[in-house]
Amino acid sequence: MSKDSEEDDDFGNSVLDEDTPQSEISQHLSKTERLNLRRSYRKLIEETQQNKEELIKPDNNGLMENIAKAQELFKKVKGPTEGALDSRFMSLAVSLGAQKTSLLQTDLVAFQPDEFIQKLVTFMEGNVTSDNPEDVFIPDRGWEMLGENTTQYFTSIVPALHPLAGVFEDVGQSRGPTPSKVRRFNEETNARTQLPQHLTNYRADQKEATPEEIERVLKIIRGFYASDPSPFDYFELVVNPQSFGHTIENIFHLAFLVKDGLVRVFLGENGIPVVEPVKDAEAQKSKKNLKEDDICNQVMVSLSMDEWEAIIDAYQLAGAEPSIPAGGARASRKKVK
Amino acid sequence: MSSQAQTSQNRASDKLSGVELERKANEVVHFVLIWEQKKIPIKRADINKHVLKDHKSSFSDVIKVVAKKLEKVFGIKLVEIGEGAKKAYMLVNTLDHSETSDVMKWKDNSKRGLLFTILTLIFMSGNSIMDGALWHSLKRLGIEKDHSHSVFGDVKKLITQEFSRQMYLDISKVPNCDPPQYEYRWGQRAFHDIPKRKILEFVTKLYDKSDIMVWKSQYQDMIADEMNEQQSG
Repeated sequence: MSKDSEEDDDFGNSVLDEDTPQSEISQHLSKTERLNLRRSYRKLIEETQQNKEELIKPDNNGLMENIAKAQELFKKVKGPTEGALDSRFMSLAVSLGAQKTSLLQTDLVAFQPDEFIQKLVTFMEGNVTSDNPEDVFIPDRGWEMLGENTTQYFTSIVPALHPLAGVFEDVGQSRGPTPSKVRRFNEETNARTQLPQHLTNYRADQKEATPEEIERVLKIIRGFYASDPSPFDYFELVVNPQSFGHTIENIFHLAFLVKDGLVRVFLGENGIPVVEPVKDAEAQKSKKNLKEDDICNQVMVSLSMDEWEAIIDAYQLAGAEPSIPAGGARASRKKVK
Repeated sequence: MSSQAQTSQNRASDKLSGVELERKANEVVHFVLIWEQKKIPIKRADINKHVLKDHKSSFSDVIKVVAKKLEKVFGIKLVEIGEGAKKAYMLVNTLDHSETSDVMKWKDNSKRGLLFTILTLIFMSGNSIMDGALWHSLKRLGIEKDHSHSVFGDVKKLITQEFSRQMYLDISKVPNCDPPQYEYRWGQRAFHDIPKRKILEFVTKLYDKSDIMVWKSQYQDMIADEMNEQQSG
């Protein structure tokens, strides 16, 4: 620096000598003035150099102030040495200005992940629960919401297939039937082949139901006879005005009773068939007779639907309760008729 | 046409043509549409194994028909990625669904939210982010590498395996680093599925800024990308 100033001084002197021939005093004065001016410039440059870190900060106006100072100094500049110093300062100011500009720009676009995350938390309606930014609370719904909002940005995502009837559940890998499954399957098929057998049993059950029905009818007949011990009208007994089928059934059951010699059917005084239970002793006897005399107690009654209706009319049974109430489940079925 | 098809069929019995080719192509279309749900690229071997079976030699013929059908019927582009043995395909939508998106029900919204967050972090940080910085950021969202998350479960697996296999993320090991460090970048599917412009739009909205141009370097990056795309497209 000292060498520089010497040169400057020599250079200045020589120029001064040639261009401005002035009086000794004025020369001396201007020399002091120029010396001061150079000193001011050097001070300004030095300061600017030293404070450049501060000066290039975006919000610092120091650089502008220094340039304004230089502008003031420049008004006094008369010689080239001072002009050169001014240039030196300006070139420094420009380079600092450039740095400042670039810093200013990076500052504007600088992406701070932490800041972004903070904004995301707010977006997802979450919040930081303490001073530590890692103590964050985000509702489960938050991520779903973020996804919903950002899906529109996935412009080229291929839409999912939407089966109208819904998708198959993921049932995992199928490993083919295991031995135990095969066995169970076989058992199941066996069970199924047994079904017809069940049906035969069922039919047998139905057959067995007939004696029970006969028993029931016998009880009813005996009941009637107990309350009024005289033969009673056959048709009044068997006809069910609500069901032709049940009427036929009653005739059928009664036929058994007659065959077994428990009930006697014979024509009454006015030629109408009547029914009368056989007393136990007589029954025994008749059974014996059956064997000894080979007498066949049989009663055959034929009844058509028309005749059934005619009897209902004749006996005025329409709407009356049947003498033998229909029994069990079958009754309700027949009653519908 | 039919006689021509027959003669070529006679010439090479394992080569498909005509109606058969059409039928197989339809099957492949069906197959890739369903496969795409997983978002994992479809390998040539997958198509051969599940659909073409004995007609592997016709692959190149079939795939041409498939690409055409996907484009014309579904508005979907069949994109080839990878090279050689790793060659695979993925589907890219070419239709604007901004208006229909309200009607469409998307699965896995939460996962997409997380994916979008990561992709944004990568892009905004200059197209790459180190795993340390990524997990640090995610931690502030309540996501920890080694802890199960209430929404995502095994987050580490989701990010390092699922997103990576779906080609949304490209994770590479940084050489000569101990302990190992990983660099996260956008995967190929991310480039296809999400325009960088959209990311900037989202971030700008989030920061309540007026213009996407405030993100100068990212904006320039985006413009460069769009230029490239125009040239290649």
